[in-house]
Amino acid sequence: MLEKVNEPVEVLASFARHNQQVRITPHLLKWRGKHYQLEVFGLYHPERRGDKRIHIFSFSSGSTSFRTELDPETLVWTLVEVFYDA
Amino acid sequence: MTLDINPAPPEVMHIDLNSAFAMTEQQANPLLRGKPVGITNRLNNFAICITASYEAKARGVSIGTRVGAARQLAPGFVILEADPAKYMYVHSKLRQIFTSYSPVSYMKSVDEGIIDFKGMAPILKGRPLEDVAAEIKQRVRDEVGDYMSVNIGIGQNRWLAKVGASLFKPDGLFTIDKDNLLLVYAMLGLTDLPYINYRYERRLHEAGIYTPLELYNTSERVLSKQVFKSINGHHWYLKLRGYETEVAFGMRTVGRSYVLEHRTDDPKEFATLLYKSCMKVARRLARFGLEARGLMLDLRFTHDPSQPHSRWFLRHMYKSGASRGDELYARALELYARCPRRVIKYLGITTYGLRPALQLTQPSLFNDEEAKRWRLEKAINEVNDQFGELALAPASVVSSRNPMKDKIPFGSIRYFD
Repeated sequence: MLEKVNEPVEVLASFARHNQQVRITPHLLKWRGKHYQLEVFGLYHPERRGDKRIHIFSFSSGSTSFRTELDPETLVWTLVEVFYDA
Repeated sequence: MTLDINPAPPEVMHIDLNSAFAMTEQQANPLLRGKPVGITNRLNNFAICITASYEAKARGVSIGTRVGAARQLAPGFVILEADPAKYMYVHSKLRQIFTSYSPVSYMKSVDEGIIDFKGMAPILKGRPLEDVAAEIKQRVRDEVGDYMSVNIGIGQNRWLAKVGASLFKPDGLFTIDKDNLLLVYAMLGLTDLPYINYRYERRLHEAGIYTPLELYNTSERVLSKQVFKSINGHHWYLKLRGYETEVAFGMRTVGRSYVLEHRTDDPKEFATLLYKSCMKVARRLARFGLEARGLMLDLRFTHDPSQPHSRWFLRHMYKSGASRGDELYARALELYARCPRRVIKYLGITTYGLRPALQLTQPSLFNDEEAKRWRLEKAINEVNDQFGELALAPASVVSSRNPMKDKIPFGSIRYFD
């Protein structure tokens, strides 16, 4: 089941240098008072909105998967979607 | 005179992603892996799947299956709305990998590409292309995603390489050369060959051709004069023997097509959609620095048993070029005025007769109105570049019930960044 959320969340992430670029990996997500630890990383992809480049990270924790966005200007993380395994 | 099979070594590689969009979604969401997944452009029961995962295909879901039917065929079927940004990113990663192997490499569509290794022997230094293909498969897993896999075919021309890639899906690798070419034809049916659909198959049957081997053994004269009745017959004769026939053409048309979420016979609502489409086409023309003399309007209607046709189109070649949204809209309205009043479900606008756009480089003494329109168009484009597509649009467009979001195009990649 897919739930559209669109709420700002707290994310613990690492920034590491990789092939002359920076690789960002989220590790822990705090949402509605609960902590979710990244277990399987899915995909990173950017999305252009006007002249902004939003960074999108998809990953799963247990039977829940998340789609989060990082706004590079405000550095705010947003939880966009949550998928619950039926 | 007959032509033998091309004796050249197979040096063209065709690579395509397995069930591309579905696999990309399974890569992004680990909980979807191993499950029947479908992708659609619209999330409702009447929508059709534009891609199905291998798990869904195994249960009878295919491209074109309605979402409602797919749910019945495959219990636990998950349907997702297409996410073009995700697929474009995977496309760009694949393109990066392919171009690192040969200067002659390009993407044929969103999910398939060609690497031509002709003349690369000094760099390969005897390394077999199968070894390179295995490396590419690994790089796709490392650089795009660990769940991603590709089919790779190697052949003497692009078409045979595509045939090779289609033989052992998923995650296949096969080389077709002069020694096994006829064996490959012997194990395939006509519609297993790329670009032979059921309509083409019927045409071949009418000419007494029932297998790829029979197609191969048909003379060039029969193919050109009786079967294809065009230059295509000559091309088929060559490509079946491993000679290159695919030539890349430059951009000849720029357009936009759209399936309406809310079908309409209301001219006012339709004019809004027309305007929106023209703005999009104008943006695309501007991106390539082009203007168009020709315009075609292509409409499809909902089924009506009292009407003989469900499609109407009209095109016109104008004396002057047009590239602004308002110019294209005025021309599109002229064509639309001659359309019968029916419920429209599909709208397509194609511009053709393309040429470099004439820019106003200095203010005109006599045509100030025109200069104003150019400045307005430029200003609107600048705002939309900064804040996103249609951030600034006429009020009538904003209030339309049809959102006209960008969808993932079948095959075409020419509007990709």
